[in-house]
Amino acid sequence: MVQWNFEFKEVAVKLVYYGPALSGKTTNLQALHGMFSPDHRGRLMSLETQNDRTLFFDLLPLQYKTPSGLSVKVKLYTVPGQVIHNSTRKAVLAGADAVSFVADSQKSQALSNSISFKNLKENLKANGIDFDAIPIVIQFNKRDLDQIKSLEEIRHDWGQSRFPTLAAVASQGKGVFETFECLMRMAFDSLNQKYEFDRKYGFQVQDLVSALTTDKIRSLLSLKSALVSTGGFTLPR
Amino acid sequence: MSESMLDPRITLTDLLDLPVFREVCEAFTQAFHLGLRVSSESGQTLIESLEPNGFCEEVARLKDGRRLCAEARDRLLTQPLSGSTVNAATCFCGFKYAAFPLNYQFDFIGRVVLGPYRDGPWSPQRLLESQPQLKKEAKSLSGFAERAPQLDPELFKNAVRFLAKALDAFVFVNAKRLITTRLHLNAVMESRQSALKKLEAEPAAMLLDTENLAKLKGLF
Repeated sequence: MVQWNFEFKEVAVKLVYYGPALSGKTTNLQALHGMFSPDHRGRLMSLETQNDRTLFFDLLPLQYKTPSGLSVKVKLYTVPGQVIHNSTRKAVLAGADAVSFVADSQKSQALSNSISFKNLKENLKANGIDFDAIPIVIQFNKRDLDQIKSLEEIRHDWGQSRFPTLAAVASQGKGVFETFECLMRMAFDSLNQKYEFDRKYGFQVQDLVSALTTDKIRSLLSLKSALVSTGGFTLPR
Repeated sequence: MSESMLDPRITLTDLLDLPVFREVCEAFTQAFHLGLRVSSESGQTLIESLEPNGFCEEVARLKDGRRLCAEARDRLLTQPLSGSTVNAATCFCGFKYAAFPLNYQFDFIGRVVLGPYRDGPWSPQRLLESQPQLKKEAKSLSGFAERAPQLDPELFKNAVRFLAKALDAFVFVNAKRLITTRLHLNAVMESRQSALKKLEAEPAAMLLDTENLAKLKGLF
């Protein structure tokens, strides 16, 4: 749930990366951490076990200040994917403003993906969050592996849904920033309907996206090419 | 909509073990001959590690000296700091202070004020501008000022940089531990509630257990 401090003109938004174990949620955050300008990102906090499995969560805080003085803080969280950690997933998901569901593209992981997506629905409901209203994007990660669901299949299965889907190879940083940008845009489209940050403070997501990355990174990114299906998302001009 | 235990505002007192951190501050003061104060978001002093320099003690003995010193110190502990860098300030008596904010996830949670110190020869000009009636005392004060330790500007810059990094690490590590503890407690509570629900669904089994226990108790 967005935290809005009118007195200090601060808004804090929570974005959660959800998905089955080993789908690439932590890899997404690690890649983003490497891409973001140090002026606008904090330390990446990870609580992990010895074999690099997320024990509790990962957290990456970001900050951007608009010329009009609005301070926008974005907190990116991941959840632990292993089935046993449901209480932590529920706790991390509380207050989320948007969710990126990171699916493993391998056909062998279809069941894990679906169990995790069902779990997302349940935990959103347990937290009093309307599954049909909260912005959700779906990232099909691991596009570099064999035996993966094809893009045509993804378009067929998800094209009519309200969820934008994106392709990614998070281990190579591909599709990672694009997923983040799509998630941010959807989150603020939703928030602007209620709080009108754009009209009242001149806040444009594009400005935040531009501020977060270096010119070199920006030139490599293409949201349009990473999108597999648009769902309820309108590409920026 | 439920609030997350990960998101409530964290304060500096949540994150620092004050007695332990006081030792670190005192070691810093001894190493660099530089006093410091760590204060909370509201300006309350949490840790004070002073370096007597003789000069400030003399200033405090002057008429209104103690009050003026206290006002200068309180201003440093509460005035807004710009950005996340070191903010320099000069006391009414001409000695210097430096302050930097402590942030956690871009939230301001406190500050560190270093000083008073001098990084060059002392001049009474600043003192006389604010307190012109102290012209006579200014001459005697210069002797005390010259005997106060003088900090090399480069060394000072490095010392401050080191302290800021060390504090940032302290805050981060302790925040991580705090959140881990909360999540762990949450997981334990959830497990307990889940176990209790299962027990409630099996009252007959519970009753049998209780009866068996009562019989066993009778044997002892």
